[in-house]
Amino acid sequence: MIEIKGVSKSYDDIKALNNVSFDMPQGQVFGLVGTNGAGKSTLLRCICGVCKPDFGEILIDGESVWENPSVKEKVFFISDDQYYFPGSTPLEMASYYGTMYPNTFSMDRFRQLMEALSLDSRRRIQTFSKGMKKQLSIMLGIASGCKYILCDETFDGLDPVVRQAVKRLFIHDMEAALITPVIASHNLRELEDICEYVGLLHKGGVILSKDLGDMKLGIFKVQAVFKDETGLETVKKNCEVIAEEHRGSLITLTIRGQRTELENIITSQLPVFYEVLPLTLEEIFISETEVLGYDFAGITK
Amino acid sequence: MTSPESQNKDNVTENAMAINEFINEKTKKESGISMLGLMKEDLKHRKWMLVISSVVQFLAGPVIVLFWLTTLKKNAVYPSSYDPEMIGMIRQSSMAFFHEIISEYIPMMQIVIAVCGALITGIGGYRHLFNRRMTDMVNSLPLKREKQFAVIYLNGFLIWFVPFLVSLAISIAICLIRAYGWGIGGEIALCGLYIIAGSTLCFVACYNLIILAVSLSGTIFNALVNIAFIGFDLILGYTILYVLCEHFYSNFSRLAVDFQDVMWLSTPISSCVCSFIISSAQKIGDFLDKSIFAFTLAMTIVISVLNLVLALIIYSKRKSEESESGVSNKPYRFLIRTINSIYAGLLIVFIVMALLPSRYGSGAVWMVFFAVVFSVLAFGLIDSAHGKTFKAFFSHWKQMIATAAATVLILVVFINDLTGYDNRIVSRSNLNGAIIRYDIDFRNDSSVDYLPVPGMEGYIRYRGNNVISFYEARNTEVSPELAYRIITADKMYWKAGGGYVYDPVDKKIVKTWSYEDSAEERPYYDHLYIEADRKVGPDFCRYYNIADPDVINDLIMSEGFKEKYFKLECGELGYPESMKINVGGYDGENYVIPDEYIPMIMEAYYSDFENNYSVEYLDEPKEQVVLQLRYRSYYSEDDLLNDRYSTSNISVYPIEDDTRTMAVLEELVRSGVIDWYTWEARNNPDLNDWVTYYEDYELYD
Repeated sequence: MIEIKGVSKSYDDIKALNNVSFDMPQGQVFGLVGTNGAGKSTLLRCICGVCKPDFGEILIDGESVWENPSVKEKVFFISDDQYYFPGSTPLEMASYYGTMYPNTFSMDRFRQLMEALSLDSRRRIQTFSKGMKKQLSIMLGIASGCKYILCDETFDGLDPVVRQAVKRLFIHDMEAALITPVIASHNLRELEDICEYVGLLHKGGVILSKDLGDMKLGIFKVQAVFKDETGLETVKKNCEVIAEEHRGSLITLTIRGQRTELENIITSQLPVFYEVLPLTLEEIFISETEVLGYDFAGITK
Repeated sequence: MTSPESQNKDNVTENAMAINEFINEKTKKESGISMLGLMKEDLKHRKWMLVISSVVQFLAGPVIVLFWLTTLKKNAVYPSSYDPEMIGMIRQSSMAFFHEIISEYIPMMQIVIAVCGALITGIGGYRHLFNRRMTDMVNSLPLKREKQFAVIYLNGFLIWFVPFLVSLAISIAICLIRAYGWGIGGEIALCGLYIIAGSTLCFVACYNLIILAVSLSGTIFNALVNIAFIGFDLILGYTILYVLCEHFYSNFSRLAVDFQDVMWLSTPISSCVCSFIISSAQKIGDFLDKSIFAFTLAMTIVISVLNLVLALIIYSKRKSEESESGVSNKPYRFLIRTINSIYAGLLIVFIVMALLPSRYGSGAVWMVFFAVVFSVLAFGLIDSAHGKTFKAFFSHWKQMIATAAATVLILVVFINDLTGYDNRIVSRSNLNGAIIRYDIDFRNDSSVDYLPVPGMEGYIRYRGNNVISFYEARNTEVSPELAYRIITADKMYWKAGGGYVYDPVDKKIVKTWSYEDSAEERPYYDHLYIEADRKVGPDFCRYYNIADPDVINDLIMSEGFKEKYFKLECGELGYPESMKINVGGYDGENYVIPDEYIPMIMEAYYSDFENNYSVEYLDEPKEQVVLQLRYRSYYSEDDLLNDRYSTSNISVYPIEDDTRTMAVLEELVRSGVIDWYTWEARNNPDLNDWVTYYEDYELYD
């Protein structure tokens, strides 16, 4: 398990992370979502030991990661723009990582994955497309045999087929308890398919960190038509409404709470029509960040 | 009963736990990655450096040596007959050529290559510090940063050192094959060892400095600026310190080392100088005094090791994000601002001091004013450059005030001699003994060039007026009593406007003469360097311009002082090979003295010196010049081979009792070599003029 305890990190005057605390459970795909500049990449760089937090600590399986090779051996970091040595081939990079992760790296697995994705192991990487380079970085990460694979915007640039293949790969290895992928991304639809656990970052702080299923059970979108204003007012009074939208007489509310309790309150107002829908991850993200004032509604005014 | 689905899930969980445990155990037990494996991997990705290093070193080594040797073969002159003298000359000429290649060309070339190699391997090896992507990759690997540093460091060394050794071995082998017949193989092999030692020192010193500069920066440009900054700010610092001491401390004392000595302490310069001296073997005397060389070498090594240690500390503490934001290292920025602002303030003060004739009165106020203004200005400008906006000029205003205050404090300390350095007198009871090095100005001696004397300590004058030569390399031990008298004697020093005599006991300063005064009115003085051996701890070497005639007399007459002069034996290098006598001054006649008279004249001359040695004798020569004997001689093997002779003078100052000199001169008249002579120079205005204005080359053109 990765434990993040009160981590803060600043770049000169910019506070990238501000007292962030949450856990990333082992054996689950963890999605790290956040607004632009929320500190996702910084957090990943702290987790893999690239950056040292100014305050707080990060523990992996109970041990601090900073300058601790035995812990860092369990972590593989795939950055948003992975570096390859100039003029190198995938095989040479695999050999390099093989030296760096001598206990866990599997060259056979690497070859097998490269073949499965039809990537030429002997071709110079500089001739690869952006997507192929991404694929290669993922293959190296998986072949490294590390328990924790940290992916920063890794799915961007992959074609849908490869994306699905990588997802399947992650799930397969995860089910075999070989890896715990941590995926930072803006593409929430992608994450929704694969992640079981999600952490939401905004302005360097963590808004929430929950099991995706639980998260969805605690927040709903209600579309309803009430007979009069009092119905709406009563619902708003008794529920935690975090967003509200009117389209004619159709009112869309984002409400936090238990489904049955919520339905009881709404039905007690005898609405003309109502429907309780689960929120997508994207909708949850938008709702949660809107509450914190991350809203560009005025941009069209 | 459990369902097959849940049973399967349980199995998967069990397997997963087992695998996890296995991984945990394995990583705990074997987390260390093989150093050799890492070096091998690192080398794989730095092949280009190895190729560049190999090609350059091969071209500059074996290829150039072969080229030189081919040229030698073409130009060689083979005697038509088996004339042993001719063959001997050719052999000597060839050997001299080999020495030139081995002891000058190869060392110089290897030093240039070592510096370039350090630059390429230093910057290239740690290039990930300039690149965020690479930093992310390297720093996420399961390695301690110290280990990363060590791998890159050692590989950089290998990349330069292996091709260096190979190319040097080939070059030496080529020379050995050529020199085999001359029997100097052992000497050349020894030269090879010196070159290895010298080049390695140069490479390591420069490499360590470059790595420090690279560790401090986030861009290649900054790294290069840092190399210059670290390399040369040290010189600047010493220069300022030296100027401060020279200006504010009365000139009778000096630092333990002078400006030239401290200049070597900047690693790039000192390592190159020391390396060349080592590589070229036994040439220390041509460049530096042996003790200064030893000091410079020791300091180069110490500074180099410190650079490496500092680089390692900075590297292991370095924030990864600095790779994308250039020089964001706050302590380093602070140092750049502070040190250079102080330097700027003090340097402007020195310029102002040069323009202001007086160091007293309002001068001091102006110095403080300029120090403050220019240290503040420099501080603000450096801050603006870092912040890339003039708005950052006062962004560290508290540090700015502190820096200006520090600049003023340094000035005040020196102006008022708050260190007490200037007035310090070693107590008599603390003196154990002393050695003086002297440069006493006898007999209108004005030579400037010196050559080492083979097999002897010290030098002989290359072009001089006097074959009896006292030079500072000649050390004389003096008693503690005399040392104390020297230390406490009245001292001369010069400031704008004239000369002063300072009494260090009473601490009184008296102005004795102005530049407008004629030479005759200026007091007699002499330069002495004294290294007092204290009972407790070392003392500074001090430089005195003694103005107390009694002390000088005591020194001149002290035991063993007379024996310090050089006496050349007949046939020895430097001994007159031919001699002329000039009569009649600048436009007078030159007569060739027959060779058989040369030993007689020299012997008479030495005897004259030895027999009449006294304060008066040494102090009065200008008044008793009779004639000048000009002679030509060869001072080195090279001179001999190439017939490059030097001309020198013997100023003969015989007194009437010096019968042997007189006898020689009488003999010269009798034999018709010269028409006349006189020892009454003061009665011969032509001779006086001639003594003042002669030029060597006009007599032997």
